[in-house]
Amino acid sequence: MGSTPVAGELLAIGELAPGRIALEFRAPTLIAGLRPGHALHLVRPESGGYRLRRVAPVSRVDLIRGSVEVSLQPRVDGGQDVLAGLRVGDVIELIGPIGQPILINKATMSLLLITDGEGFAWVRALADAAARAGISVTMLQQADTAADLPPASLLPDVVEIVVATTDGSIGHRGTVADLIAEYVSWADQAVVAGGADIRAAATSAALQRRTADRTTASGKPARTRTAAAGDRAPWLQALLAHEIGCGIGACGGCTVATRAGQVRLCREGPAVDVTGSASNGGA
Amino acid sequence: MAALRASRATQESTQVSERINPLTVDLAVTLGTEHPLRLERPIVVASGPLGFGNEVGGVIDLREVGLFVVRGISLRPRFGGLMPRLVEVPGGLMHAVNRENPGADEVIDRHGVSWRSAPCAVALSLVASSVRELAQLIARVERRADELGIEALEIDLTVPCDGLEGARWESSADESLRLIDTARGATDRPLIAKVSSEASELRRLASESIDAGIDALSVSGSPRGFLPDRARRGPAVAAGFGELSGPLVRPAALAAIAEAASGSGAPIIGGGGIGSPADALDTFAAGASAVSLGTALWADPRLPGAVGDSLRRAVASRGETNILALRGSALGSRHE
Repeated sequence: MGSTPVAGELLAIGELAPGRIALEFRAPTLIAGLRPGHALHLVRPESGGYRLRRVAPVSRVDLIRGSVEVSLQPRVDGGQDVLAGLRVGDVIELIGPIGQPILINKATMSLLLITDGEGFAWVRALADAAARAGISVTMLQQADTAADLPPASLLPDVVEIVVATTDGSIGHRGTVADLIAEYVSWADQAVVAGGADIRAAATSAALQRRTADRTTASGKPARTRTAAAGDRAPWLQALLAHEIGCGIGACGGCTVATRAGQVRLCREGPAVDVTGSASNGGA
Repeated sequence: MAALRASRATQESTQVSERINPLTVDLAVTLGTEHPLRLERPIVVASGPLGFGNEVGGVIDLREVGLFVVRGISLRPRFGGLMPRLVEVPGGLMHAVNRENPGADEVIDRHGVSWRSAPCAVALSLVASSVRELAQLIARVERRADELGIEALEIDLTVPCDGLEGARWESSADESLRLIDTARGATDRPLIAKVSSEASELRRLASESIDAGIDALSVSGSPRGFLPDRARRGPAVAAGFGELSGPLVRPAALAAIAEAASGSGAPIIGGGGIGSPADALDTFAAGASAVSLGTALWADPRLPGAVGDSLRRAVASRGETNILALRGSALGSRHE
């Protein structure tokens, strides 16, 4: 449905952060079309044969191994996820790509990523790709405590990591909301992925940046950087996660309202322009 | 020994001659008598999971389906509510989409062409919070129903009713029957009333709704659910209450199907948590004349075909040629 299912053999099980399970599947026919921002649907029958399409963000693609790493999203019921019981060698159905890639403008030379434990999996592949493309990447990470942070080794060395922890056990004591302002004028583009609090902080910063761009102290229009032909991505994109769904934009389970119309995260998302839109709570 | 062999050979020969070829089994059913709705297959795609029509193309083979019920439409646009709208729960999922739709006119404009070309019957699922609103909605739909090949209308009794302070229509048999009366007076098209396993006075509703002009009762609606979020600081779906689908609702759905079927003789479209051909057979055994498939289609678009094949084999194995041979086979006491 939407795309033809592909058999994926589980090669490895790991963690992106404590409690954030990552699964690496061998699926050579699937990976060529995967881009940062895409997700896969994972399908594994439950007892009785009932099957759901569970959304899993693509966190890494390994062209040499012919594999794709996806991250399991924590279930809202907190129960034992049927996918967490998979073992190396198991084969399940993978469907994808789900959604659209994150748009990075050709002129972008500096990229700000804003994440927390939930959002890291959605932007890890983007950090990899941007670093490979020679773009300067800074990732602001938020966590309750140092133990909740993803290992720095999961990111390319050239990515600058700036951390905020609620308890101050590492980095800035507080939240990334306190830090974003420092990077707003530096970044050509920004992407936020995570909880509602960091999305709100990023959106607020983006709106302030837009206001600052439009006016100068004298009240005259400000000069803005020249965009390359074809550039169309907004300064800030928010990645909105959803758990399950039809994958074809039919069920309404992942629809968010924007000023530009409704966005179905499984079709037009997961990246949404939250500064030009009236979010319905996804952001 | 030779005589024994000959006897066995004769027996086998007799069995072979009486065996029914599953391909000869007639799956067609006709629901209702006053305004009969004929389905070439007793397999219904439930309103909601597969959208309004355009999205379905190329996803499931509608030739394997008897009736496609379009996602709910209302007179005016309805907003689906905040995210999250859809979460996984133990044994299934909970959804809170609030019958989101852009209004009947826009849905018809955008999707009507796909209904006309569908290789199965098409029904519209109508969402209204008052009797007056439903009458207006049916009038709006009827203007173009023939042109678009709409064969039946489904009255959704699992949505809030203004007169019941926002409780579902199905929580009051009297209010439900009042709505059905209105619908019957507004159209000559076959009518289906959809309820869930939570419907009040279900046996009475089944019986009296047939008298009021319903042609089939769809006992396939989603019961309500509630679950706190992980932090237990709020509900899992933003709307608070959601609706449940999946295996967790199946036993309650089967109980409701059995109750409605055994008490009324009404043609029942049964659904709720059907995820396999075996589940579909259970639903017929509980008294359904047709089965309604929902969220299981997301991951298993071939389910309608598999259910059809399974039904044919099950009928043939009984030495029968008509699908109705399966209806209600599990009803009644085992000790009779």
